[in-house]
Amino acid sequence: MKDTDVLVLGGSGTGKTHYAGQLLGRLRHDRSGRLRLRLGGIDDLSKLEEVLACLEEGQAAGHTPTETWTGIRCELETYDGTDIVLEWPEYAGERLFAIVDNRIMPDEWQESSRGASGWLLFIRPSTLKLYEDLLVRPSDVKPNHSNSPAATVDGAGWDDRARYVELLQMFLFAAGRSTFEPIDVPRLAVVFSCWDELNEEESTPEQLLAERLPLLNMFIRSTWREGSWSAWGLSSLGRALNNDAPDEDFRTHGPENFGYVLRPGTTTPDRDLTLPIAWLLGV
Amino acid sequence: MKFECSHDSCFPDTTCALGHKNRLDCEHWIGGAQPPKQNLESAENEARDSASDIPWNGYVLGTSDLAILGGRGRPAVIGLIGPPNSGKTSLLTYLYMWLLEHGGVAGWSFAGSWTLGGWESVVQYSRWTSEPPPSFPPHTSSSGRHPGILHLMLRSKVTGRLRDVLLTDAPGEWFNQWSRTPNSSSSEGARWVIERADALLLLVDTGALSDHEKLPATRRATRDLMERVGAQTSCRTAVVWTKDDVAAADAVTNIIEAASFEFMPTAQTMRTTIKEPETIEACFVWAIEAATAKLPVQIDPELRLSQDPFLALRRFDERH
Repeated sequence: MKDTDVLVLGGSGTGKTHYAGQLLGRLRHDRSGRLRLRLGGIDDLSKLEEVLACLEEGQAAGHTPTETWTGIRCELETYDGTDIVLEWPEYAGERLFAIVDNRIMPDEWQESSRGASGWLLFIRPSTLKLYEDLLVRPSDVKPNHSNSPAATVDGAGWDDRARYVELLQMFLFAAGRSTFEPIDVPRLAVVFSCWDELNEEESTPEQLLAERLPLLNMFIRSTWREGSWSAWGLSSLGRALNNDAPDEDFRTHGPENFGYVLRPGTTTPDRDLTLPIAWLLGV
Repeated sequence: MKFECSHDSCFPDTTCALGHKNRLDCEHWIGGAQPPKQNLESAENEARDSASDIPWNGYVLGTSDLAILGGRGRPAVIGLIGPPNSGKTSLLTYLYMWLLEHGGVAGWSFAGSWTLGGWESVVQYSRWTSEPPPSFPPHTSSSGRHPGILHLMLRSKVTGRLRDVLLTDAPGEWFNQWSRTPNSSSSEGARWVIERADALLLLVDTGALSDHEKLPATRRATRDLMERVGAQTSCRTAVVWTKDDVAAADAVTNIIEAASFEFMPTAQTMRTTIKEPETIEACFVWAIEAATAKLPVQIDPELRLSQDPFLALRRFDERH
């Protein structure tokens, strides 16, 4: 049986936990996807108890507590019967960018970055911090030199185009990967989450990456070999849920009937939420 | 616990200079000879918490930080030189803004940087945040002895090769001082730039040359610098007329052009203005190509067989 890890890189509020809950719902209750759970293939459901309960109620799940770092072990099988063990990490999103800000790579991340066969990078386009500058919006008046003392900007103040590059650079270093030549391993899936918040019906995920995050786009294209990375759109829920007002459709039909992904290069939704994971695992 | 290491090249915000993963193993770690056994774990944790395990801190590189680059080949060094206020840091700011927006320059794709924090710090003044309105970066301080160095990794769109590029961001006072007394100890920083550069961009401040007040001092500083550069270095040089949206009087332009031709007959001439950022891109493309062309001819790197450094070039599979 193939034992494999996926390293999930998702900052706070990028929708990792909702995806985990919905992915598990698909793996268990929708047997038509690319991947499915073997019967009884998950021994501890308690780690996702809260999100699973909320989704059944049609409510948004709360925030993952900061102290939590748990691996959720699932025994999967592919549509053609191959067995795979997937270790899904669940943690609070703040911990990810704390690595960039504090410049210390905790052991569990280091191990995970070395062992994982695929990296899943979550980016939520609607919450990106992208500054306008004098290049894209010139000033009417001739700019002067600033009189403020020269200061350094810490990680939290960076433009997200640079911040995501630094994050990947640090993980590539932790994983011991040389980028002198473009790499094949680990595979990288860039997932744009909460796709339903965007009005970009005509954009493919790759176009979104190139238009919104050009620096990250070129960094990925220079670092990963063509075919070893991919970009996806994701809406785990298909719509926004509230914490207090339940969504009746979710309650009635069950959460596994909601949510979609956009495959690389496409603009049309596909309801199989297991596709990005299947791609990372090469099945 | 404070960071306490006696090695010259060890700093708390980067990794151990001698490569120890656990700093307690290093002979230079002070007070860490062998702590009592029961305290060993807490001492290890404290040593870890007081120091980073990432070998670059993200901010501008100093000369002792350059070792992390040497392993994969000699980086191309581009020196930006010119009198104070001629626009050295502003030109770098525009290069970074260009990269954020386009992900590369003509012929080269962005492939990373060990100094993203340095670039972000330089560009912060030119962003539309709240008040005050965007401006150019503040005057580069001349207090340090070595220039701040900004780093880029670029991948050639033609050959696919990775190239490390270093760009110096040094205060203009250093170059005034250097053109007066190039060998004095106070010129050390400027000398570092000029001796190590593979390509030089010598900036001429068109704005100051068109300003009645600033003209005499600027003309003198520019001509002095050209004379010294012509005498001291043979690396490829471009004379870059910055702020080209204003025009200096013909007589002034002619004097500077004559000096350039006299002292640096092989130098290129370029003009940049922020009103046409393509002019700034073109200037850096020239510098990157010029600095790369100067490096020794590269042989094809041997194919890497494993990500493990020990096995990277060993062909066990063929012998056994």
